[in-house]
Amino acid sequence: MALLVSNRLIDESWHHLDDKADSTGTDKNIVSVEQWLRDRDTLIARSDKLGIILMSDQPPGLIEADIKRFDVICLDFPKFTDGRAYSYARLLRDKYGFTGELRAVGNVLRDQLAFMKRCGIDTFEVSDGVDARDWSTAFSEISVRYQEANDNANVARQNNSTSDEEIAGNWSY
Amino acid sequence: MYRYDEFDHTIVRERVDQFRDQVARRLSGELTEEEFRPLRLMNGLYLQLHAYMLRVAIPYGTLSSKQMRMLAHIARRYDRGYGHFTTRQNIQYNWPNLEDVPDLLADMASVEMHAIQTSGNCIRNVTADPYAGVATDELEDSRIYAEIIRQWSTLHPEFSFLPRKFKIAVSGAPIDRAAVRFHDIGLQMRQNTRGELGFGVLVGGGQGRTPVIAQTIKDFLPKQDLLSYLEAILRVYNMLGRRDNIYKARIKFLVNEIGRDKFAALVEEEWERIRGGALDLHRDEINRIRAYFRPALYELITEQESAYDTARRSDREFDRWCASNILPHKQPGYGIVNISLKPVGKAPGDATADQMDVIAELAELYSFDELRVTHKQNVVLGHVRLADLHSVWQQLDAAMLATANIGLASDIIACPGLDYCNLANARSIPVAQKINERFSDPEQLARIGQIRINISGCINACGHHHVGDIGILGVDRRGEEYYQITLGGDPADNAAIGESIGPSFSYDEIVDAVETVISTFEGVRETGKTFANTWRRVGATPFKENLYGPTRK
Amino acid sequence: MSKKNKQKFETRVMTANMLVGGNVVYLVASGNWDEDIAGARLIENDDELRRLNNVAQEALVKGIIVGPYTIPIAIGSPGPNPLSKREQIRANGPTVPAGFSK
Repeated sequence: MALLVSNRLIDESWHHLDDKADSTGTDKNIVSVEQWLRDRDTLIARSDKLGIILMSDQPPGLIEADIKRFDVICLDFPKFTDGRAYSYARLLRDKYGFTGELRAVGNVLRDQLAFMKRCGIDTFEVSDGVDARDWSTAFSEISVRYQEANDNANVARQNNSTSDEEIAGNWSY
Repeated sequence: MYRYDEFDHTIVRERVDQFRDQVARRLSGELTEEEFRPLRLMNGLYLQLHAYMLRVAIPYGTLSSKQMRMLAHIARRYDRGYGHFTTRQNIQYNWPNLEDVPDLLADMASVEMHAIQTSGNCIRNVTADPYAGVATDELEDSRIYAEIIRQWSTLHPEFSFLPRKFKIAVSGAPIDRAAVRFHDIGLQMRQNTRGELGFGVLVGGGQGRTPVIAQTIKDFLPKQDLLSYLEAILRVYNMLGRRDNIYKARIKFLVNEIGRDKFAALVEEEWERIRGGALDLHRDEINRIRAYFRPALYELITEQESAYDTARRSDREFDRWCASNILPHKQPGYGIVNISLKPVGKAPGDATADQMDVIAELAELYSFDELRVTHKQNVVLGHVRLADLHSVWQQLDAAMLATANIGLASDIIACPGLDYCNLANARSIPVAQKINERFSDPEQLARIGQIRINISGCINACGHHHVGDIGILGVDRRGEEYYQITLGGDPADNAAIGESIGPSFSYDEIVDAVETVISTFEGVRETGKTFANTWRRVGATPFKENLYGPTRK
Repeated sequence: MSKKNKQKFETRVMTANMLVGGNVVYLVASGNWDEDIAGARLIENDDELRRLNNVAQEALVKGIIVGPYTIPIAIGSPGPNPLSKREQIRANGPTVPAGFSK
């Protein structure tokens, strides 16, 4: 499985802990919410670094108290039309102050990358068999934004120093 | 008229390039139809019964002459010489080629028009009072706030994949002309006890297969909090709205399921967290947007417009048109001109390219270069001097645009129906045409008075049948077209959902049935009362008896 | 339905929209797609249905057409006539003049 990180494709280095196999994992484990709620103390003891995956029906409030323990939080996008995780991403950044890696996983599609990034997601899982060589170009297709979100983009006219008088004066009759 | 700037231009131009690339990837086979479908829908491109259909946004229904001329150009160059104005202040083209759509959109983008968010589960084109800025009764021009919402919601990264589509309407006047009670969010401007302006916020209204009247969740929202409060509503809905059943995914089901109070509390909690932040609309920001609206420089008219009065006295047809199609304007000496797109024998809301050009020309010459499209599928010249009206009327008449029927029985709202639409069960346009023909006598129209006849070809209710005085709903009975009649719907301040009156009628029976409803009304009405009034007084019984015979048992 | 019970097979034709033009087309005897339903290939048994489904799938994958499906028809004098109102309108175009222009 590859990951798109800062416009580059790299190999995944995290271990996804399999619930059924009772695997001991490695020192970098990504766990499910269910695993976390059940084996929290064991997982903390044996992992140097921890990640968690939130399915699209698992809002971040479920792990509110522990959010800052995680180095990576994965947000699952099960299908194109399920947009819940966009809100989860914004809440993680704004409400819970999560500063670690926020990763989109699941059915991650090129034409949604820019939206994800704007909501504060910084890495993107590439499903097996998907050609992601041109993915990095998806972020710059729309260069300006009308609204504040979780990127430092050029938001609508904030830097526009035009005064009201100048705008009004521009009318030609 | 809003003055688009370089910023707006950049977004629409880049969106065209993005879509051009998506179309190229589809045509090369890189994208399958399954993958491409949501992408084309995000750009308003449907595959309908006969062909592709492109829906173009007309933000809050306002257009410049230049933009209207572009709509005419698109109709000629890429379509079959006409377009269809919809009940959501948009325009639809019924016959474009997939290959041509990127070029079509590039032409549109040259006048800052686009198809962004005209489909898909996102925040759709924001609608407003078609008389905003010119009505005699308004508190403030609602287009300023509709424009602020347009900007905020355009390509919103968090709210582009909602559980279902999302429609917002804004009214700046105490009398509702934007159907705020039938939108996912309705914003009704009002004044608080300290004389400050803000909005009453209604949520969960809508038509479709489960019509619901919106409920108020906030009596008074200060203007500066508009966007933070909207963002809180949308975030709660995005996280909690149902995603397992598209028929229960609109916000009305969420509000109903958890209850209005609980929903309001969740919104309030999120709003408290984010209010006063980046989305705060301080006065400078509102003024900045206001300044983008070109003010109309009215002439000061003090004496009576005697030419206008003389023309009305001497020209009976002109007088009739003025009586039905002209509304009072806030500026003395001016009028609001409603151009009917409902002449006898034509499809409601359709306009040819030549007609669009005529309308654009008239707007340029007589109405400060500005036009509005209404949810009743007509066009408005916002501010015409009364002294110019006779000349405007003559020019409209020459283009078959001077039908005197605004608000009357032949001013029918109709969706495209089975003649064009993939979802329809029955035809709407020919039914509208036949009713229009039946009620084409001006004396008769005037006698019947204000009445809304609304026709939808299926349960999705694009023809707003739920809120018609007479609503007509097309249904399928074993492959045959049938029509159900509902009575007593009202889109505005006395919001009501029409009541089904009994068994449905066949295609050949429906026009007679409508005539029976109207003659029943005329039989029981008290002098000067409207259909809506009469319905509230007498209820369903006389209508049922005349339609179906004396009530059994 | 039993394969052999040909008496009960509802005669059908295969239809779709062209990918590029979006126009309504029917699968005709030559294996091409044509706007005129008159020449549409009749499907009168399950084997034929399977065969034409495969032809349609191939055209779909090649990006010639989108959304193929079959419709029941009656044999009329000019050719196949769709049974449902929807498909009659789809075959013949809108029943009302286009815009104001005709």
